[in-house]
Amino acid sequence: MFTLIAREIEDNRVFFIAAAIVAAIFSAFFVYGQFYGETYKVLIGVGTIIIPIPAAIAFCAMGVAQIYWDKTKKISALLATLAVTRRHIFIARVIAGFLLVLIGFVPIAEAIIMAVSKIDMPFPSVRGGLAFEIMIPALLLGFACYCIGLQAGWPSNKVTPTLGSLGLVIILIPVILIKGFGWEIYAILVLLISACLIRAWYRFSTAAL
Amino acid sequence: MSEYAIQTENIVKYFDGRCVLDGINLKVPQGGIYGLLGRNGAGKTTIIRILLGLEPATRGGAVVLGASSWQLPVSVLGQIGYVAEGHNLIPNYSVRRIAELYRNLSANWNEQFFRRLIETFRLPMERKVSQLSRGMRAQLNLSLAMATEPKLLILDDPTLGLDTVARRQFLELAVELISHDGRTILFSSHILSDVERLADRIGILRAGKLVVDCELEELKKRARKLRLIFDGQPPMEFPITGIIAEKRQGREVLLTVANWNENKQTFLNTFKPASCTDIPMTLEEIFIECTASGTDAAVDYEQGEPICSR
Repeated sequence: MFTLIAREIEDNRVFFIAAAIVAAIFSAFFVYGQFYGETYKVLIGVGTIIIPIPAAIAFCAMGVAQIYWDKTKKISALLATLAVTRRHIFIARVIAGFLLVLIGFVPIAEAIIMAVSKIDMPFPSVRGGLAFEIMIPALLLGFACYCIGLQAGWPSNKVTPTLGSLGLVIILIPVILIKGFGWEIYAILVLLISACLIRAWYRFSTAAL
Repeated sequence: MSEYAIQTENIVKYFDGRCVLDGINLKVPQGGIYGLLGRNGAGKTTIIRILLGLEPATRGGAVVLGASSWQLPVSVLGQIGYVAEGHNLIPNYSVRRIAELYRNLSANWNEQFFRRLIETFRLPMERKVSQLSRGMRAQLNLSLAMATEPKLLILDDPTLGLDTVARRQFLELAVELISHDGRTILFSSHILSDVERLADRIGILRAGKLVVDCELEELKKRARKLRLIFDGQPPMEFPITGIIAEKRQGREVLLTVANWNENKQTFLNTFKPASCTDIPMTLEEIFIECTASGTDAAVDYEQGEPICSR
């Protein structure tokens, strides 16, 4: 399994490197932005709303890319003739996607939490709560977008997954802004992730490789 | 363990409403070399892909090394080596990287044997697969498949793209591999001389049907080409089963008959030919007669009599 995960990461290293670089830049931006006073608050507000959109598309693109290259280069057809089952290939692929989401989202979310904490309230007392409230939906949102890409990568039309992930972000951000973070958001995202993964697995496990 | 490494049961496969395989019942005994022949589009690759679980059958199924081919467990997959038609190795990987992938994902990897093959074929380890010639890709694919020390080696037209020397090297390696006890090879090929040299059993596919499935020697015995010369006009037709081809020229009739036996000989003698000469047939001639369009071979098969079966 480790070999399969490592292969997925290596083959999609562009995404991982890009995610790490972008995460580092935005984290630095949020941390050092504290020196700019009022402007900083506006930047954080705008950044918090805008960042998820390109990030969501990037995660979705990773899912699409995995399936696209798999079909083009017949990678699974090769792997499935070694001592590896389709289940192993699929799980390794999903784990690689989740790792990408972690690399891309965690530093940014962490930086946002730190910044928000500095402005509004004493940092140590609320940080744990904020971490849970922001990090979990952020992770789930990123992973949901990845899953949309994964299951939508099968047909040749790549517009659908892009619109799907954009739509998901556009729906969720207002929901979060209006209702705040809560179990409803978790439920929506978990349901979406489950549906996408089940559909992607069904397609992968029954298709000709 | 079954006496067969591969056993298919009435496999039917449709692609976009077109029947590609029509009731294939194939049995490959353990420890043998089975040559699967057929013209382009006859369904050879589809059968192989079904056996490996890469393609679902529309109906029917297959058992490979005791497991259902559609859900082969890791323990069985680890005993199968496969060389795909066109040698579909990941093109942007270097030889070294793809070897590492095989090494890490194979149940039995023989590094020493792999190094020997790489040296024999003089394959550059740092070069990308996409930069290898077709012949080199074939050699790499063979080396990888053989280094996994498979109990069952499935080769889909493996020598396609190889020069004569490389082809000979491959055949010798295949023979070396099979010399280990209990190992089985199933291979499809267009080069009939290779099949004739290597295989001990033959299967011939014609338009999705398995019209021949028997030992090579048995096939040669049972597929007969006869030159019949009559004193007068030859009979309008010979009402015997299994006539694959019939050519007439004056008083002479060239008759190719499947499933030849003494009864057919006795029956043919009742037409009182002036002479009846047996013309020896090579595998290539049998293959051409069996697969040429317009022959009655498939008709006989539909009536329940394959050209040759065990």
